[in-house]
Amino acid sequence: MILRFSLSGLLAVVLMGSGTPVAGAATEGFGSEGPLVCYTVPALSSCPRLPHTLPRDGRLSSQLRIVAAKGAFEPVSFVISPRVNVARLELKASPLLGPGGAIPAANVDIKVVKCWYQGGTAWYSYFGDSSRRELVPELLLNDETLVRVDREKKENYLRVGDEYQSISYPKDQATDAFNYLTEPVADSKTLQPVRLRKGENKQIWITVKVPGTAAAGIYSGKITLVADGKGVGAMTVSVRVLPFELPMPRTYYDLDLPYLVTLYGTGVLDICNRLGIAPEIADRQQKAIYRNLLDHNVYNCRSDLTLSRQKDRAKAIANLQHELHMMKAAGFVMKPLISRGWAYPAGEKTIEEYKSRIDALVKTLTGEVGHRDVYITSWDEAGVDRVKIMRERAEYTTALGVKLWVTTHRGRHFDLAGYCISYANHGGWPSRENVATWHALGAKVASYAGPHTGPENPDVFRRMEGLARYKAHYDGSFNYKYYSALHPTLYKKYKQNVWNDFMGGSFRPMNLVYPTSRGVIDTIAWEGYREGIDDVRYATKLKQVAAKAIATGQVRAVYAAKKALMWLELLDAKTADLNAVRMEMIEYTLKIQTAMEE
Amino acid sequence: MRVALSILALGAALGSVGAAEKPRRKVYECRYMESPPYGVAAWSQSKMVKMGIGKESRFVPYNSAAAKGLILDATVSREVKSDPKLKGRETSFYMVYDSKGWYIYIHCAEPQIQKYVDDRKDVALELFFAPGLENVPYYQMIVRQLAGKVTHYDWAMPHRYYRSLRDSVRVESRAIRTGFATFLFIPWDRLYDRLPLTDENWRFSLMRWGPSMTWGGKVHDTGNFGLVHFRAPTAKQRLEIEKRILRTAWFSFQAVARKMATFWSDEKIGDLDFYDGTLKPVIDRYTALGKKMGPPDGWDADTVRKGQKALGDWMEFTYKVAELRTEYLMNKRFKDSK
Repeated sequence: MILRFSLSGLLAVVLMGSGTPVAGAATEGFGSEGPLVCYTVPALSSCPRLPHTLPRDGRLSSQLRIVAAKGAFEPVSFVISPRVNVARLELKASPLLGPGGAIPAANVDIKVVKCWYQGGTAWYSYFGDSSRRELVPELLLNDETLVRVDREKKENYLRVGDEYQSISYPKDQATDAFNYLTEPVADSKTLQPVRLRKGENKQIWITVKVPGTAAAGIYSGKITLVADGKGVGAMTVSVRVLPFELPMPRTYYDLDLPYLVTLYGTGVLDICNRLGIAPEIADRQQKAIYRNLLDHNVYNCRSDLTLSRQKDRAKAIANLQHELHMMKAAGFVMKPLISRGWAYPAGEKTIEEYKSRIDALVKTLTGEVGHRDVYITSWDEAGVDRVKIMRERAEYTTALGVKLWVTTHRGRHFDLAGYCISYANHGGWPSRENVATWHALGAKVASYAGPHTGPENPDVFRRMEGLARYKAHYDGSFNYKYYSALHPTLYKKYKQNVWNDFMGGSFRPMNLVYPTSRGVIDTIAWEGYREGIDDVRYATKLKQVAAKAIATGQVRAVYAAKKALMWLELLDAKTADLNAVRMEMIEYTLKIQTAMEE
Repeated sequence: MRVALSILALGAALGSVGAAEKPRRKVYECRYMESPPYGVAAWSQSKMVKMGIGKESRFVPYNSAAAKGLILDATVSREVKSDPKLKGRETSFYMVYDSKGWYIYIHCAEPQIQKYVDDRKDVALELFFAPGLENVPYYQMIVRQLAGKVTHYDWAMPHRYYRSLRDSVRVESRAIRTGFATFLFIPWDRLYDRLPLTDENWRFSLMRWGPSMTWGGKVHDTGNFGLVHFRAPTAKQRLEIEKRILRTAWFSFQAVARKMATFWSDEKIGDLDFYDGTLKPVIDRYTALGKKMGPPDGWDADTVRKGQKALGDWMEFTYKVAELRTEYLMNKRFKDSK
C-alpha cells in the first residue's frame, strides 16, 4: 500500500458531505450536508481504524490511488464516517479503464474491515491476556454480519449455520472443540450491503489485482456508494500500472539465492484424516488454502505430512505423494523442498526401524520432486539432551543426501549442533548478528517468533516478514503460524476454538487467517504479510535492474544503479516509513531503466 | 516529598479501567519531584530509600502454573524458579517524575549477594508498562541485574505515533551490599504524545526472576498489572515539562532538517525538484515559526501554546519528509504514465 498524505493539503470530500475534521488536520473547503464523509487512509498502517476514532493519518478525499507492478495485488483503503444511520450501504466497483483495455471489476475486491473484541494485548502481541478486552480491526469480510459484536458486554458471536454462537467464553465454559472443518461457517461470496450507524466509522478495504498482461499506464474507475437505495457519490479508483512485473524474491545478500517464504500450519490433510473427513472435502479445503498462500506470496509451502507414527506405511506414503502432487499442481516452488519430515526418533524401538522410516521418507520426497535439495526437520525448540540425539540421527539423514532444518535459539543449537544443521529457523527478532554465525557455516537462516502471528497490526507483518528480515541477510521467512489449527491429538482435551481469543493460556490463537469449512477468511495482518514480501520483491527487482545496469559498464547506468544500492543499504528497514520506501524503490528502478535506455 | 501508597477500589480515579477487569489492584502514587536522584548511588543513599518514603514492596510469588508456560516463549530465556523462598528477599521500588522524565529505582534484597557475584550468576528483572489504559502500546524490558544490560521488546512498529525506547532509556544495575539495585530513567521525549499530565493511570508491572515474584499479574497480563497513578503536575510544573519537550522538538527538527536538506539538495544523490518544490518550503515555514518564538530560554506559556501546532512534525520530521516524499512520488507516477 503506497498512499500517504500531507495533512496540510486536505481537499473537500465529494460524497455530498461535510464532516468532522481529522484531529489536527485542516479541512479546507468542507461544507455540504451529505450523509457520509470519507477519509482515504493508508491501508497498511500501525493506526487501528476504530468506530469512534477518526483516522489521524487520513485525508478527506474521494480519490483512491494505487501504484502497482503488473500481476501484483495492491490494497487501498478508506474510512466512512456516517452522519446518519444507513440500513444498507451498497458499494460496487466498475471496471478500471486504461491504455491496454480494462482491469475487470472482478479484480477490484471490496471488503469490510470488521472490528471485534480481542484480548488485552490485541494489536500488539501474540501473548495471551484474557484479563481485559480491546476492540480492534481484523477480519476482511464480504458479510460483516458473520460476526456479531456486543459492545456492552464486549463479546463476539460467530454465525454458525443459522445461529450465532458465543466465541468469547473462558476455557472452563468450553464444552467441546470447535471443528472449523465441518461447522457451517462461511462468509458470503460477494460483498453484502453494509450497515452504518451515525457517528461510527467503518473501514473499507479494496484489493486490486493487476492482471499480468495489463499494459503500463493509468487505469481509472470508481466505486459507487448507494445508501438505502439512493446514490450518495463515488470513490474514484486510479491505478498506475508499472512497466514491469515483480520477480520471485531473492536474498538481499546474494541475488542468486532464493528468499524462501514458508509458514507453519498450512496442511490440513492429516487433521482431516484424523477427524474422518472425506478425502474430497479435505482436498477441496487444502486447495483453497494453497490458492490463498500463493496469492499471499507463500511460495515455499512446507510439505506437512510425515511417515511418523503411521501404522500403515504404504498408505502414509500414498498420502504424502498425494500431498506433493497437490503442491505441485497448485504451483508452489518444489526446489528446494521443505518438509516437516521428522528426522528425530518418533516412537521407533530400534535404530533399524528409524532408518527404515527415514529411508521411505527420503525416497518418497526425492522421488516425487526429482532432486535431493530437500530439507527435513528434527525436534522443535530442542533442549540440550534432544540436540545431542538430534545430531546423532542427523548423520544418517545427511548421509542420505538430504538436509536438516530446525528451529534454533541463540547459543544452544549453533554451539552444539551447528555443523549438521543446514537451515536454521531462528527464534526472535531478526538481526544480522544471528545470521552471521549460520552463514559462516554455509547454512540458510530464517526466523520465527519475531513476532509470532497473532497481532492484528498489518504493519508488524509487513515490516518484520519483509524488509526488516530481508535486510538483516535472512534467507527467508518461516513464521509460526498460518492459523492455530486443532491439535491433532489433544483437541478434545483442549476444547480449542480458533475464533476465541479469551480461553486463557500463555498465547493467543496465532492466526493470520481464520479457517472455515470452505477456505479461509483473510485479515488485515495477512494483507500486511503479502505487502511485506512484495516489498522484498520490489527490492529484488531494484537489485536485479541495478546488476544489469552495472554490467553495461556505462557510467550513467552504473552510477544510477550504485546510487540506488547505496540508498537501499543505508535504509533502516526497522524504522522507515514503508509506504515511502516502496515508492522510492519504484522511483530508483525506473531511474535505472531510463539510464540504461539513454 | 512523601509518596502515599494505597490499594484503591475502583473509583473515580480509576473510572476508565474496564469493568471486566479485576476490581482491585495495586496503585502506586507517582509524584512530581524537583531534582530527583539519578543513578544507583544517588538513589541508594537518598532520603527516600533510607527512610522508606514511597517504598512499594507488595510483591507476591509468581503464579507457578503461569511460570511453567513461559518455557514456550521462543524469544526469551528466563530462569524461572517456582516455590520461591521469599524470606530475606524483599523486592521494592520507588518512582518519581520531573520535567525530564520518569525515574524508577528497584531494590532486590538478596542475602547471598556475594555468592551471586562470586558465581557470576545473573538474575533478571522484567518490566512492563503501558502509557495509558486503552488502545495504547505496551513496553517490555528485561534487565540483567548483574551485567546491567537491558533488552527491549518492541511490540509496536516504529511510526509517527510510536517510538521504541531502545536507545533512550538509561539503565544502571549492579550488586550492592544488600542485594541488586537497578535504576531506570525513561525520558519524556520518547513519550511526548502520551504524557501523564492530567492525573492519569498507566499500567505497570515488575517481575523478579530470582526468586520469581511479581507486583502485578503474569507477563503480558496487562489487565492484572498494577497501576501507576501520576499525580497531575502543577501548572508551573506542567509548563516546565511542555517547554522542555518543545525545546527538544525544535532542536530535533533543526538537526533532521539540516540532514534532509543536505541529502535532497545534493545534485548527485538528491532530488532538486523535490527539494525546491516540496521540502524546502516546509523546512522554511517550520524554521520561521521556530525563530519567531525566540530563544528557548525565554519561552513562556504563550510561546509554548503557539509552538504546540508544530510539535508533532518537529519531533517526527523524518516521518514528515517521508510523507511528503510519498505524496511527491505518487503525483509523479500519475503524471508520467509511460
